[in-house]
Amino acid sequence: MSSEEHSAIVEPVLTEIAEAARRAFGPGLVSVVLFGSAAENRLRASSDVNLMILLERVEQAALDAFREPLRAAHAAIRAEAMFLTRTELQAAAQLFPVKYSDMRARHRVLAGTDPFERLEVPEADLRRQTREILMNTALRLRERYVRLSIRDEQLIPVISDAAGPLRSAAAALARLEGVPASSPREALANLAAESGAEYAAAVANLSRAREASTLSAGNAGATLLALSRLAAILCERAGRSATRK
Amino acid sequence: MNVTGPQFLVLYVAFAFAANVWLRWHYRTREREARAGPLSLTNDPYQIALLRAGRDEAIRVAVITLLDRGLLVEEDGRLHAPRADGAELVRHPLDRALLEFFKVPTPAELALKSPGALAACNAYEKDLEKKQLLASPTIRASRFTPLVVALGFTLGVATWRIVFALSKGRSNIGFLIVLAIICAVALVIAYRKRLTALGADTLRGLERLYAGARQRLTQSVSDRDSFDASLVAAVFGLAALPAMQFPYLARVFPPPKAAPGGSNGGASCGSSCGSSCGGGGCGGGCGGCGG
Repeated sequence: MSSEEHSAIVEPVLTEIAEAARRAFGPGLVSVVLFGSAAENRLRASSDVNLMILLERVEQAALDAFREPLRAAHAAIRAEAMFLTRTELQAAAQLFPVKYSDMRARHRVLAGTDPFERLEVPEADLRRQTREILMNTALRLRERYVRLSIRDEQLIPVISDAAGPLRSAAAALARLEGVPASSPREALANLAAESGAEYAAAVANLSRAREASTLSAGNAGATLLALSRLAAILCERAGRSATRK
Repeated sequence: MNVTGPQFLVLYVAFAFAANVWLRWHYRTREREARAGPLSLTNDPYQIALLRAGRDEAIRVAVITLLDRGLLVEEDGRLHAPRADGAELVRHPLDRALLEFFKVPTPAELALKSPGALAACNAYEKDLEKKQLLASPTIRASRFTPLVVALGFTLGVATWRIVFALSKGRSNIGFLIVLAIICAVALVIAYRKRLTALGADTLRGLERLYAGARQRLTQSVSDRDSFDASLVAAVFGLAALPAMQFPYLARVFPPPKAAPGGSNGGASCGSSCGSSCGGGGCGGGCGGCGG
């Protein structure tokens, strides 16, 4: 299925889900927000469709009334929903600043008010978590290299799975430096290019592994280690920009 | 009228074809007025299965779903419900009826005659008629007058020509009689369609909507959701379930043997109808294979 065909299916389902949320939660519904790649119409056929359902309060009866529409939407378009109350939103943004910073940058309101208009994502929290993600990624990729690189093909899913945290951290770093990119993917590509040609090539391989689930033979190990080094470089960069400020 | 016999036959074929096309177009236009969103039916996979292929298919999908959930177990083609509290874990009346039916080990096919299961299917049918996806008595009544008009014209023209030919001493009217009968049968088939045009559209929409779910079912094993499997079976038929993940399928509901000239069960009905409706097109769906 092409991306266009997939998008043609997604939109009517999103309209129905928003309507189902209105019916299920009534005046207790604050917002239904689409975020991530779906909000930018950059969905691939295998992408999840991420929703935030913001409520005044959580009530079982209302959740039960929303179960079946959401379940059907999950089967149809891989809709995944996060349920928060209005009072939890700011705390969530402080505890998960990278995620909420990305949501604030890439979202579309399907129902209700825009909860991100006044949401603050503290810079200190954003910087700390960005460094945590990058350091964790660097260490994890090293461990995976040692454990799995005897069989090259086993590294492909590891490389593919690294795309999420690397891209989200790169987008957060770009925002911290005051040069936000149009997408997390672009942010990572830009930072990799600034860091050196080998890292630009590794990020290109990352995209290939994610989209085609394949790399040329013998490339996976070098790519994995390059990505690990890139994560460490970016972690240090995130710390240096705090010091400069 | 200076039209020869063969010329008239050609004209009549065109006329009969046009009458069929008109009748089907008329039904499609009238029966698509109510609109439902793509998710509105998918609260209940059993209802979708019934819409696609009748009561037998709804019962089959429910049985496979209960097996997948572990609420029924299979041994040598006989099923039984091992948990005394199984009924508390299900919400659909059809599930409850089947768990009650399989309290003692019983061959799966007998569930198709279970009074409780059939009663649950009756309720589904009524709901589908209310949603104007299945032809209700009201819809059939509204279809009747256009049918009479189409039959009146086509049989009337044929009758007039037959009388004219006989009055001229010609007796080679057999082929025209056969054509008139074929036309009339095609019109009656359109009238008797089980699905409304909206119902046929809905099924096609569901196939597009859940094509991704069907593909994912073949790929994921460890985190498979039984609801997704129910939906895929309901929309595409039990044959769409991967054999590796449903090894009991062939034992519980053996695939139908193809009989010459006909379909043998609900699972094959949806795919066989498209070729059997005739030159005017079907307007989606067919008269239904059962249930």
